[in-house]
Amino acid sequence: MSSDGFDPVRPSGGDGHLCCAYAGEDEWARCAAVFVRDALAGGRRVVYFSDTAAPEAVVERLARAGVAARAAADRGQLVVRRAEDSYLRRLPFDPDRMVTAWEEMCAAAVEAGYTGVSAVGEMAWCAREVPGADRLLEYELRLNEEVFARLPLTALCLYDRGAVPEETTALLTAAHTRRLSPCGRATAVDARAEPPLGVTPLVDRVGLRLRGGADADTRVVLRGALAALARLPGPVVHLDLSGTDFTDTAAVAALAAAAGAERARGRRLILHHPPHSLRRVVELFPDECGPLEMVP
Amino acid sequence: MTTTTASAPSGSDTDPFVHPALFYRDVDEYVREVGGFVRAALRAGEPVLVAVPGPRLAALRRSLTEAPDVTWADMTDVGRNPGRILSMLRDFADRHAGRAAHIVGEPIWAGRSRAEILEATRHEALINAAFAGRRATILCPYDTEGLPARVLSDARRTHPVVDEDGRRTVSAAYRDPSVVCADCDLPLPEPAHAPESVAYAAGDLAEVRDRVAAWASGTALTPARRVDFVLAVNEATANSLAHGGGSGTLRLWTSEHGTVVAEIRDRGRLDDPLAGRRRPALASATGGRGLWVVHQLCDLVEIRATGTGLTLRLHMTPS
Repeated sequence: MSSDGFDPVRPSGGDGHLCCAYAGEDEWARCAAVFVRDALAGGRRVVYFSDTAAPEAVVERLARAGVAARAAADRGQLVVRRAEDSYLRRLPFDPDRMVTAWEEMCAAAVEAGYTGVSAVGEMAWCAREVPGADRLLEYELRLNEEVFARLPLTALCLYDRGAVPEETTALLTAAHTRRLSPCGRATAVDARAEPPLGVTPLVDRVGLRLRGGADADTRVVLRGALAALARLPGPVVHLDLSGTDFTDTAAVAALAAAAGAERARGRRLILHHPPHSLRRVVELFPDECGPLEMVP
Repeated sequence: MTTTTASAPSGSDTDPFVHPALFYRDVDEYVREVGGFVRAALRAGEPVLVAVPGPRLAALRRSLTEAPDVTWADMTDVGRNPGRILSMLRDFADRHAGRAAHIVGEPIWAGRSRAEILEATRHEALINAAFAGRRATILCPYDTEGLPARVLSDARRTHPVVDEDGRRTVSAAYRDPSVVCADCDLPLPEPAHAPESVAYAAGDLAEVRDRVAAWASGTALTPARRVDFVLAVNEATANSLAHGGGSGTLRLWTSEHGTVVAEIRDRGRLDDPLAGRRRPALASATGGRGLWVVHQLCDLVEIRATGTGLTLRLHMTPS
């Protein structure tokens, strides 16, 4: 399997969390419609969460792209829901509720005889003032361990470049384990679209990697990362700061608070390769930074 | 002006805080007077901190070998930036809560620059506000032979009482800290050469840091001090975004003496003149944490609060 292709059957290790940033109908068809078609062929239930489009319009759109969507919808294999009629009906958006909802969705699909669930989510609502949208990063980061590692689920998160700012797209797609190219090949990373602070799941151990600068401008990203970190399983969670060139005082305060909270729960948070600025703040607040465990 | 502090005004008969300026002529008088103050405090069982310039410190320690319980500090080090002295003094008093801290603090010595003396004078005035109503004594020695007359006349404005020729007298020239601080807000001299200038607003902090780091790499600051410089500028510019009207202007230059200077100018106000002059909790989101960090990192912080905004000049001198 090529790195930019995908397998509708759930791969092992929580690799079922896919994303795709697309622009225009053709790119949508090449990633979303192909994903749906292959999932249906694989005997999976497909749940498509549209942003604002009516379910009927989505079925037609899939049909235009060559998917036998009408028949699949009639027999209950394809289910289309608008976000605001489903998981955004109760606001604010709540990652904890979402985890429960995925469990129920997968149980129902298996009960009905499907091999699992393949879900498509149009995420353009994240660019609007939806209450709880600031927790989407936390949610995307938590999904890998809490949902995909243990459920027969594959999900494709769609980021419409026409509706979501490039920087937001870059931030949220980086939280996924795999990325789909909308044109069937790997896309070059646009340096201008690199978020000032990005978060990526670690692949070799339990934890996250921060890249960029943690400051007043990126506070919400750090908050999302630490909220996700707190939910990762195991006795030790890791935060790789090798790509983090700066942490301000408030960021160090947040890290110390997170480390203290983990310690209180009998767990360890280990910071890897902290930047010089972090060590300097630790020197200024030695007592309060006591819980911070650092390896060079 | 009328004094309107809630607690007893500093220098009044009822205020347990005592803040004398000690005018001394030579080392002998210095050792005798300061030594007497320390011994009396120790006899009373009170905690003692002596923070004076290195040479004076050495002379005192030689004469006070029988005083093991004194906390000693070289003021040219801990008080290099006058803006971080008050935090240290409050730290000491807080560590001995319930007892009357006895402190010798000599923030101004011969050789201090004019800009440093101005900020040290501001610090001396703010001591009165910070310690008003508190049971403590801070004795501030002034070298009458080595210091300019202007410094000595300002000491009479910042100290409610003056110890001179073995006698303590009430200083008629004493002024409220707010008056002295306003007088310290003198216009800052323009840099000799056109500085690098960066306008910033929300979302620009990473770019500001990149600019500062790139510029600082061309100065004589060591890599470790460049980290401090970027951290200090980041805290100050982030303050502009949070409290200074959401934007500001950063200027960078090197003075003729080789000192590296960053000026942060915004539309902020300094509502609390004591902001940044007490050790904050790391977790405190408000209350001068950023400014305190800036004071700890820099060799000098010049502060100018005017009707139209706030200007900070952060100085770092290459070693």
